Amino acid sequence: MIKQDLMILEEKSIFILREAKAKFENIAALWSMGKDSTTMLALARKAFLGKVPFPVIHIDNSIDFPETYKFRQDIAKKWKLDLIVADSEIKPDLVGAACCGKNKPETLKKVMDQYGFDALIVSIRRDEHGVRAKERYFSPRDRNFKWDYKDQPAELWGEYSSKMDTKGHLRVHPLLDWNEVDIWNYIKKEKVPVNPLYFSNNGYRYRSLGCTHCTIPLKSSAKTVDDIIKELEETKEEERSGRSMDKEREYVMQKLRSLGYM
Amino acid sequence: MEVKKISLLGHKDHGKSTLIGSMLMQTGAATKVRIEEAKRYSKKKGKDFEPAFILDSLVEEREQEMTYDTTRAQMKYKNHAFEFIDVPGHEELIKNMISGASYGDVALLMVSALPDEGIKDQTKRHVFLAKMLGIENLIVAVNKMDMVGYDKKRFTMIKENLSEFLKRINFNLDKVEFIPISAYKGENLTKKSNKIKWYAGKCLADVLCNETKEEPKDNKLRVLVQGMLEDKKNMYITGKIISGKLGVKDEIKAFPSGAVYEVDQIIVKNKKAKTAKSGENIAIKVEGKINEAKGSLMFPKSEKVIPVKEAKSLIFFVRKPGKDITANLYGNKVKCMIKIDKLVETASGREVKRGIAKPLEAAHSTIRLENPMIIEKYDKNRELGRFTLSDENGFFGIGIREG
Amino acid sequence: MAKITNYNFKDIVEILNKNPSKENWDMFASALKKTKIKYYKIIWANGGKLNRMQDITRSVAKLYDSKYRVKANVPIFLKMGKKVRGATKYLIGLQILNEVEQ
Repeated sequence: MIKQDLMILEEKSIFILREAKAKFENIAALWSMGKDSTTMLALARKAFLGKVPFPVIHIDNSIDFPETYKFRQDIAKKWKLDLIVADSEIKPDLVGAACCGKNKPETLKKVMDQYGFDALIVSIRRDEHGVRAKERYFSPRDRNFKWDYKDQPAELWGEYSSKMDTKGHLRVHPLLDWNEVDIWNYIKKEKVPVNPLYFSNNGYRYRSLGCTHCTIPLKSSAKTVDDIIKELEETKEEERSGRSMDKEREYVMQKLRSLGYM
Repeated sequence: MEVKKISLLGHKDHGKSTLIGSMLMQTGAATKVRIEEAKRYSKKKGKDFEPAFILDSLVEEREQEMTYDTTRAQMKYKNHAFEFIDVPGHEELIKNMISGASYGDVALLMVSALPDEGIKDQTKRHVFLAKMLGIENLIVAVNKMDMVGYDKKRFTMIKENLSEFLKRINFNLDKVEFIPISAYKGENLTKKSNKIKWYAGKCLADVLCNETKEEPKDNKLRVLVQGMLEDKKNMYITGKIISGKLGVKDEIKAFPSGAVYEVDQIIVKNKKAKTAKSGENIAIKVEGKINEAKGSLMFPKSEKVIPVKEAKSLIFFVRKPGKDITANLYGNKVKCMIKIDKLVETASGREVKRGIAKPLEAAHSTIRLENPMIIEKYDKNRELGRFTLSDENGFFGIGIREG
Repeated sequence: MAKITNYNFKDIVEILNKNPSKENWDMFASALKKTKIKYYKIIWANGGKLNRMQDITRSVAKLYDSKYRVKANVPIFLKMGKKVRGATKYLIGLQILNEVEQ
């Protein structure tokens, strides 16, 4: 995995966050309490004089890890976050996963309508998954959350899209260029707090955190951020291999993504 | 580690995705899962192993074996890191191609050595665009050498034909390198091929290592304003330094407001700083009342920066423009008119005697803006010297200021 | 309202299993964690394939003491009237036990 220049990544992310904040009246961010969206909040604090100037939404299906809930409590308090917890149903779903299939996007849709958000900051990275390689920094979604990946705006020379149909919204992706190992290097450099589940306990750790149902730990002895960075430099496994979702066919993933799956 | 970004240009079937797939394998960047999956998929399609299937792709792209949208792939080679940007080679997806190519530091053109493929109009259009975007160093990979028996004559012919075109559109041939390869068989990619003994140069990856991006370095201060920020006590102007550097106590002037400020405090990433340099995102505290809009520019008070209503520009038309034309300059939308001075056929580099541009043609033109704007010459300042063009139906072209 | 002090660990586990209502979770969760349990592990019913609601309501959190001895199973959902929701946030403070089933 390639380590990129953190200064370049940081500047770009700050630019995108400020661009988004200046462009949209009513913007919010998704926060899953994972390493990526927490890093995004750390970047927002840098961009906006130490404050996160937008509400953060947790789509809570109420089966997240207890450690994750604890982390949510602690960080929301420490960083004075304007936290919106959106209660998401758990019910059996087409891919046999209670959590991520269709239920979460439906809840998100409700929250977006309820608060009238016109833009949503999502902390996805290009190296996470095949389809995400095609994403833009500013990506329009229509009213049904559909992502038209075959006809996207050109995103040329800082001219980011702000066009959407009525009731649609724009997804903003400030971490798109980051690699997994960059996130960890940044966490190390900036002492960004992380969920303890990322560290090895009894010989296992979580590399990518979803809820208790869709996440499987991997064998690892990495007990510190440095250990994790070292482990990532050597691994040949894909990051989301510990998520049951991705064991389903790529096709399903792509369809769900275009339907607004996060 | 700085990652060198390589835009792949060329006609759709000339092997761009295959090249990236093979490079990912040879540099060890492709995961086992990916390779296994690509093998299974190749088999399912009744093919021998196809390296292109290793790439991140949309289902539709795989099924139809073509690239719809830009893809990126990173890999390490020796002490370097490369990011290959695969852009669609189809005419109708040229906006994605421009978008992808504009991120690149180095351009790598793929040309098939097959007699019925060779140098296509699309190949030449891509090169024209690369030149227009300011790329001087070009690497030409003559691909599919395995299918022409690694024949030197075929390679030389393509080299000579293409060189003629490159000269016509003002490329310095000393800065253009030609390499025979086989992306499919993996020849001459990360080590010198012993099947192409007549070729004395380096393998592709080694050539890429030596390439550097040549960008104009303007040291005059320019700050692009993103908006205002407020804390309990103060107001700040936020923005990005596009060129030059800024220091506390500097006197700066804003456009279009005309306001003059003395810099009281500079904040870089939530920390006070005495100075800030090009590329940094900053917040500036100034004395007095402030209200600068997003898209404003700031420059030294002592410098005379003159906004213009007219600018000689080179424009590339993705399609025929409509009636209500807007130029988008660093985030500002300004109504404008385009007067074509000299039309150029991009597939030949030759002038055309006509007054109206056809799709995929370029024109040395004069753009007339409704409101005066600061536009720099593209060869002095990239970010302030380029613009996109749109009409009532959206994006239709790009332009750069020439004179 | 019943006083929590009247219930021991076994009683609480039994109540939560019998009726995992929101009221019961709210009332008993902290008392549950004041006992000697330290670790939890979630066991999904039906091998993790959640095809029916039952697969969710039959899934449990195994609770262990500091010596990794299983002390009880509690459900991981709650009922709010007719609605079913997860209940893992009531386990805040416990530590995950990453281990293969013994």
